[in-house]
Amino acid sequence: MDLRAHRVEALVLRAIPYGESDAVVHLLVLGHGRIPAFARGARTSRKRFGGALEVFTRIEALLKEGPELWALREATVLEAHARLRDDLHRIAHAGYATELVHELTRAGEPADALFVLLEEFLARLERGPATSARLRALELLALAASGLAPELGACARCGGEVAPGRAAFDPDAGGTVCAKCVVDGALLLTVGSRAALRQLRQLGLAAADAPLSADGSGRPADARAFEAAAAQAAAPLAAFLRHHLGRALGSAGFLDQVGAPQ
Amino acid sequence: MADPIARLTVLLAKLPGVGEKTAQRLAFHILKSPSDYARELAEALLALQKEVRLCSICCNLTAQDPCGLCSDAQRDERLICVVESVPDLLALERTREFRGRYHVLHGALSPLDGVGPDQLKIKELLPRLRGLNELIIATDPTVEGEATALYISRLVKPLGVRVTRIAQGVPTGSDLEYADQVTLARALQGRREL
Repeated sequence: MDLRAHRVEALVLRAIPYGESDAVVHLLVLGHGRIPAFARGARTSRKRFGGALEVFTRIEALLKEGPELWALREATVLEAHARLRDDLHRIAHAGYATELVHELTRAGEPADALFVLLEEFLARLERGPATSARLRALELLALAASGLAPELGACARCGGEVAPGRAAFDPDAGGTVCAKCVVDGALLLTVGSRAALRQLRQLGLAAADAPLSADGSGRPADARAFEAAAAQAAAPLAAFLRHHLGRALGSAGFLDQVGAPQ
Repeated sequence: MADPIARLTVLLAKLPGVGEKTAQRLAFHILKSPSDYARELAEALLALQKEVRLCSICCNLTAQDPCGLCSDAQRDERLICVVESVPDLLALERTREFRGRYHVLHGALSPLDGVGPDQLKIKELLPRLRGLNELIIATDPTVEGEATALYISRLVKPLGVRVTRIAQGVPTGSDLEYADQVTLARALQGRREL
């Protein structure tokens, strides 16, 4: 039996109460991927873990490998992302991001790209308002890091050209589809939504916070119009995620109930 | 029919914090006790299921409706403290500091589990807001508790009701060196004049 100890950096994805005083903590560990770890006394001992096992927290953890669950021996807060807790929409967006990353990772398979992405997302969310553009960027980048990037240029079914502008989007096919391949039930990406998604995928989370004009001039885009376009792309991407994950994310329902930021 | 001792042991072992050995010890203790005790215990358990329900005002668990706290004329009805659960209410009552009324949500919003406002006793709170001086939100200092507090605050503040949140910080008798950075930061933010 291998019982090696590892001092690692990790993001807390969720903590599930176990019994009277313990918890099973799902961590996204740099270099190791998602690891469920048993944290003895997590719910009763303030000295042992303090607030380190709160979701969204980046910690330094001392983990010991076990035959089934790993054991979490120590946890020190590196970044609490405390300002996320000051705003309901930020909490909702952070919850969605965390669940999405949880679902796109498999236990024990390294997922460093997703670790870096989630940490950057939480840091940016802490500094600014919760936006649909940032969520779309996260979805696209997380899917790409998992090898599931949707097609946004060519036809996902036949590989042919999809004319610029608005396009049909078919989650079953894997993204945009041309006029010949479109089937009943396909969703629609508006001109703005398609352009916004392509920019977000190319430029990442930075583009969500400072979008560029679609005319290629390098000038800033109309932030409000870009945000509206990103919001319109929510349904097609949600359908795409449902297709790959096999279910809707629970946190998506919470996002709907909380509504868009005022 | 299973052996009565084994049956009781299995049932007792389902209680939180009770293992099989403890359950067996409890079963033998009941067996050795006067027969009145076993009957009273059985009757108490049945009454628990049959009589305990939610208070129609505050959603506390009670055998009489309204509950003792809601029908106590000495308590300030213009001051309501919102808690997640009945054990939280009992913890606050033990302080003997609070003389207002309560409202029990029976849970907290959970962004990750998709627990939304409709699954909590929030709509039952709304009719109680008329004429209220202050609504104290005493949900847990967790992400779920904060989300719940922010949601209720957003709902209630436009109605002109004063909404407050219980203070957060370092527990009495603890060591600062063992406090985590979030707790310490909150304690500094919530510092008071001496």
